[in-house]
Amino acid sequence: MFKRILVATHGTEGAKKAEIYGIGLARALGAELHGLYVIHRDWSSLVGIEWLHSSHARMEFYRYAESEFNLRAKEVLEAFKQHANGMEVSTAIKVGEPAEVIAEEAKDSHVDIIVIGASSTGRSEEYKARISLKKLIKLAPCPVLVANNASTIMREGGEVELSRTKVLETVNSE
Amino acid sequence: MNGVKRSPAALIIGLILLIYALILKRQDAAVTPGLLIDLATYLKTTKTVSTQVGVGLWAGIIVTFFGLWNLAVPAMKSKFDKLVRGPMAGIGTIILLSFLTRYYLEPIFKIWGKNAEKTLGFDFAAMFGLNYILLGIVIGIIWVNTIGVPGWMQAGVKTARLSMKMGVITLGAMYSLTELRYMGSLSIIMVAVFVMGTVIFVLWLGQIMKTPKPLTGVLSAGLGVCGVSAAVAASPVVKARGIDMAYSIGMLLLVGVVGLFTFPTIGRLVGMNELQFGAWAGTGILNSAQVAAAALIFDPKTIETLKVAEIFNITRILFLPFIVILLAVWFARGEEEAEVGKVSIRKVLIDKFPLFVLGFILMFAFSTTGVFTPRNYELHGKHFYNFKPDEKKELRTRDLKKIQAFIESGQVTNPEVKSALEKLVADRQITSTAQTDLVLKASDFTEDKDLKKIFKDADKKVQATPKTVKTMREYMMWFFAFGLIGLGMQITWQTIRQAGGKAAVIGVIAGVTKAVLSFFVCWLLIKGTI
Repeated sequence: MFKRILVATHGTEGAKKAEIYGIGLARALGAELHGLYVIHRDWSSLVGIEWLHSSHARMEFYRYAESEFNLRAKEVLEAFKQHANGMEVSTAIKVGEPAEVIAEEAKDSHVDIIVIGASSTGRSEEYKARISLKKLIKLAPCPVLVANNASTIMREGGEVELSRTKVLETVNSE
Repeated sequence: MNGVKRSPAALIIGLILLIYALILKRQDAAVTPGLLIDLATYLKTTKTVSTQVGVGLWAGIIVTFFGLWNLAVPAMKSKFDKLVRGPMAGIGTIILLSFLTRYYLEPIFKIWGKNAEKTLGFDFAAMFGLNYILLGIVIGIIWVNTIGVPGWMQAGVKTARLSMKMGVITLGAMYSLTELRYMGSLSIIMVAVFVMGTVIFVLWLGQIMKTPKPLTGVLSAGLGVCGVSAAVAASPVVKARGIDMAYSIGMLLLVGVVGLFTFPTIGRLVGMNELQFGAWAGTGILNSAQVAAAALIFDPKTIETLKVAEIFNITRILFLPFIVILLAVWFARGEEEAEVGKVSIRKVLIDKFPLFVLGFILMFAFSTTGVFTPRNYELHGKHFYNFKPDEKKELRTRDLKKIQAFIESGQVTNPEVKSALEKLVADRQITSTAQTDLVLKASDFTEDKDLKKIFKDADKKVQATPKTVKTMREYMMWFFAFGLIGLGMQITWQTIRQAGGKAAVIGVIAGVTKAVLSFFVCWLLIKGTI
């Protein structure tokens, strides 16, 4: 049923849960994994009221900031690949509004289910990690699984144990 | 993106401007005024009608012309299309907004403020400085945070930066050498102390609070020198991560906006003069755009406060490359990778030097040669003078007799002042800048209020602002108004909301400390006027 799974990851606590669920699902179903990191488009309007630099100096800042955001995205996706060791993982980095980009990416890369993390209450150390669930559900071409705060344990070697495995059970029984 | 497709936006905006100007012109010429003129009479803006018609017609014709062009021929990716045709719709919209705030909203608030004075006990419009600059910025902020800036406007909004630069360059022509020397030395002392003080304070705060080094570096530049602009310059040097930039820029914007709205009211409440407020805003407000805004909100009628504040601003900007180099050295220290030390001092100095400051200096140099001052006019202190003999400048015989009696009474002990007064009686008017200073000084030798007033009048009578300067001032105000409204449209809640964590704590501590300390220094220690 689910042959290709999109995991939206961002390095936050919630996203780590999504990774765990995504990997667990893929392993149980033998599906492919597609890791997506969305850089929020707001980063480009960070320097809005800045006016005194030359356009050259401003462009230099943009280039620097862009490379920094990309670097972080690569780190997170690399870590995701490590967690899913041995499995087939494709990855993508996109810039835009998170919910819109996730839905679009799901369409473009023909995934069957999207896994995202529930937003945590605390402030994360990552840039703009929140996904509008309402928007995503409206736009998504496939089911969306929200990894909530259920306790999950990741064993060494990447084997995942879920304490609330109802999702998996339903999936398996079909 | 914007401007690439055929867009009717510029045509529509241009036509609105044109139609408004034409209706206003017709009603102004007609014997029985129409609705717009009635409104202008009620708002007491009838004097501005000719400017409104003039600016409206010109802007309308230009925007409409490009609007037709944009509709007929889709914009390509050429430089001209990108820099001129693309932004037209946005430029027209901001001009419309300035019309709305300057000629309608500000007068309405003025009337409301007066009406509410009886109940409130104070004129809220005057107290909070609800003039067109502030109202324009507020509308810009509300606009961008509610409906957002549409695609067709974005290119135009971005021209606000150029407009700010043009404003500052034009301002360069408004200083006299004595003024610039006085303000310049004051600003170098103040800025040096506060920039260095804040940078060191923030680096120290970062150490106690154990914030990551890149974050501390960006914060110290932003809080110490000139807000977001400094953060932009410092980020690559201290290898700031994305989240560091987002945290610090959000916080800098927040502290800056709070400063923008509170400084003018506080300054007015304690009765600061132009020099004190200009110096305070130029030192204490973080973002350089908001310094100009605060100065114009405090005092939109004369440009004295703006002149002081902008000198402080430029001094700060000139400090920026040095702070960036200092931060690079600080960052490289204790960092094991040698590649960090690669920052080239020459490259930083050249890259980070804003060209418009050169324009400002050139403009000032031009103005000292007297290009903008027609023959017979002289800039002395903060006023222009024209000493050409003229009946209108002559004092009344009654007043001259009073001065004669004053000279004869022997109260004037200073021989220079005495001879200046004698010359005034002989010529019936002042004839030189040296004399005008001496005549004003004569007030110190008497307690007679009438006599003091006569001396002041004698000075005022020879004051005259040349038409070229008046026009330049008007242009300059348009540049600033346009720039500030456009920049207001870039103050987004999404960016401010990023402020958080330790960055916010450090920002609030350092920002408030700097504002409060510089307030007391400016208020208590700066006693002179310009």
